[in-house]
Amino acid sequence: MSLPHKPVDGESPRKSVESPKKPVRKVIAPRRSRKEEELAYGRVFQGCGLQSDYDVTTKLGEGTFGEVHKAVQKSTGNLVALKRILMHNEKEGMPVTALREIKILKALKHPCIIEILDMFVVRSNENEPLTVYMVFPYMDHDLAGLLDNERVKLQPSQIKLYMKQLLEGTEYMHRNNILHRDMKAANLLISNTGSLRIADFGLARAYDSKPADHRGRERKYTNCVVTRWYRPPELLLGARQYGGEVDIWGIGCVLGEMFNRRPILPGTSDIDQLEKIWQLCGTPTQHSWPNYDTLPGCEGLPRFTQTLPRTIKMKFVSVEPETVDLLDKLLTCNPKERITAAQALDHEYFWTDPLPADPKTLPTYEASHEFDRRGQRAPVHRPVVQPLPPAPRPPYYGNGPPPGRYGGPPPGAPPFGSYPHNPPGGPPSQYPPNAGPPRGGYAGGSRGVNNFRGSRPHNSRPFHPRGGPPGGNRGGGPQPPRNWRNGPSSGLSLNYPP
Amino acid sequence: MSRSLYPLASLSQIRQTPSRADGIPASLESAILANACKLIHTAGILLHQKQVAVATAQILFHRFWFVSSLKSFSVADIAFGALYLGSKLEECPLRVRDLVNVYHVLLQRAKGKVGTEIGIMSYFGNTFYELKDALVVAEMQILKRLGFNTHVVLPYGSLVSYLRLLGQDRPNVVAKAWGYLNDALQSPVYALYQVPTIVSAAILLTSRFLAIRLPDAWWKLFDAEWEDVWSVCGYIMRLYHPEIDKKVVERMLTKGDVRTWLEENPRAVDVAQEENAIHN
Repeated sequence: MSLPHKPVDGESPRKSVESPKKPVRKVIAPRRSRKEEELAYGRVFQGCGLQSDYDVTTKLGEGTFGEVHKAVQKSTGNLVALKRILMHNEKEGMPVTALREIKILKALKHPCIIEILDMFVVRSNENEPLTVYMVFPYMDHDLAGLLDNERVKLQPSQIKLYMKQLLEGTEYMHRNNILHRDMKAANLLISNTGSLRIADFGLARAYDSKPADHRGRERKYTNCVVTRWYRPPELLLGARQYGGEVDIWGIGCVLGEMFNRRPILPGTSDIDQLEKIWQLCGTPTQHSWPNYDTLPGCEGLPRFTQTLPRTIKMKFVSVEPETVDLLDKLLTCNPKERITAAQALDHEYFWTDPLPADPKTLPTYEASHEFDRRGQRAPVHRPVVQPLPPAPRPPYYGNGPPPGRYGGPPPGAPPFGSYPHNPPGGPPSQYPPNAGPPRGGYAGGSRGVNNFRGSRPHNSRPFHPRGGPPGGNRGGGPQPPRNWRNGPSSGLSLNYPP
Repeated sequence: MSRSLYPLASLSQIRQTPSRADGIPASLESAILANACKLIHTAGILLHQKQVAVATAQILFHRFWFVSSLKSFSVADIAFGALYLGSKLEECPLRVRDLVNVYHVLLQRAKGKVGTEIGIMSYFGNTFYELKDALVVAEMQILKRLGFNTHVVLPYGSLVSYLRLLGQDRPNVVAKAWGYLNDALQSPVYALYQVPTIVSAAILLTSRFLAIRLPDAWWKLFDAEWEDVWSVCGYIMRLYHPEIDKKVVERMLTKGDVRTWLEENPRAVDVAQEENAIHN
């Protein structure tokens, strides 16, 4: 009685399914070429091309989402990025997340949001299961890679240009009831012509702007979204009803990161993330965030023993006041009070000097992707890593970011906005001042020394191609391996206390 | 999403669908597709699936046959692949196991088996894996052949607001028009016209059936053309007067069935080709 699933009469158990008998469906039909298709149907179909339309050149990145390759579209000669859709569970067919991403990207059309050019399917063979690729226009950088490249110096006007585009794209997205849910520097693509585009809609979905439907039921979404360092406090506290505010918090983190040159809230666990948020934004009170303690995540949390003050303005003391004011409004803990994308675009910040830069005046950088930087840096610098001063830190078990040097702020960390390229807490330069690092010591040294190809922005400080100004470490002196970029993957690493 | 327009079949695709090019008569084609849409609907009911997912599936299903022939794809596989895909798209995904179970039962029923004659599929049996693979392949075929363009607009919201505008939002009127819209999902109209036209046709049929007087040329309010509305009405009404025997169609669920029929009815093929010649 208890084994209803035993194979019955004649039907073989699963193992023998692979036997050569199976087949009829496995007969490989010849695939029609473009020409044959045109003959058969009288027209060529758009929207789903062939693998042979592209020449793959290099790998651009990989991660939980799959792999990204750079390629040339043969018909046009355009550079494209091919994103392979990872079939986590091939047996279930096309993943829902990929379907959402395609559907949303095809629906959105905005200069600040990545467009999908084409799709193609590669049929399965003995070695590879069936794979689907999405084709995007190739962009030279992502913001994370750009910020990680010491040779790149972002002017405030340039930051403003990027912020403007980021908020415009987000405003458009939210107006169309789409949540991105994975806003982070690595998902913002930047071209050498100064345009920024929001990419990676793998976690995006449509949402209801009204919190309850007509039956009074409330729509609930998963809170297991957004890479931890960019995750807003309400998600960390387990909120299941949210809207555009979750993306706005991430934008705040990105803005801070552009001044700071590294993530401003690099929590090592969800609890630590909250701690870091409270340290920067102050612990919430019933006044600043009414009923925050009714969120499900608050139950298991230890009481916040000390009440911390809001320190954003102090930490970014060297940044212009309008910028800090916008940052302050973006990083508001109470989601209801957080500024919206439309309001942010109207903020004083965008209407005061320096105005957003003219894209034509921007310098051109070598391509820098998060993945590139990772790949180049690690082998070059690993031998010269200096042992770090021991920091009190619990042992590392989780699948969060590796316990690198940036796992937490060093005691007495300097204010955020004033980071020099060689932070005081970091390892001292091995080279005496005035002497750059030896040849070949560059992170991207093999690509040529002077990587600025375009015109220099006016009012920028003179650039020193070799090693930076005396005493500086811009050329890439010894640095610890920065592999923190591939840190926490979105959502999949929740470690709430039981 | 605010996009209210969706892709439609082109004129050349309407003039000659791939199935008709393969010699399948138009009447047979529409009968097979209507029957398959009923299967999708039945499966949706058995699976307690939401109507939005079922309707999305039926619309994608109809679009598919404007780029593919019944001779090269099994209609039932595509129907269930569409239901699987539509459920994912409308955020109410189904378990493959549940869908395959229902598929299996409906296939058996189509073969004329009832009640206890329908065998229970074994949990790890070949049948299960074959049907499941067929579903997954069908889903990918639909995506590929539609260029991954899965944007669908459903007509129900428009219907309610149009009827309100006309002052006819009494429950019996709405229910009748709603029913016409659902029935229209068995015909290819959702791949031929935009929502306002289809909704206007449903309202027109309802007003005639219930003898409701509407203002002159009311469909112009909704940007619909009389010829188009009348044509949609024709598509819907033809569903109630099938030309082809139901029993013949109910058994034609695979490409094999269609091919056998074509071999057995060479004369029909000739007639179809003459029809095509006239149309072109």
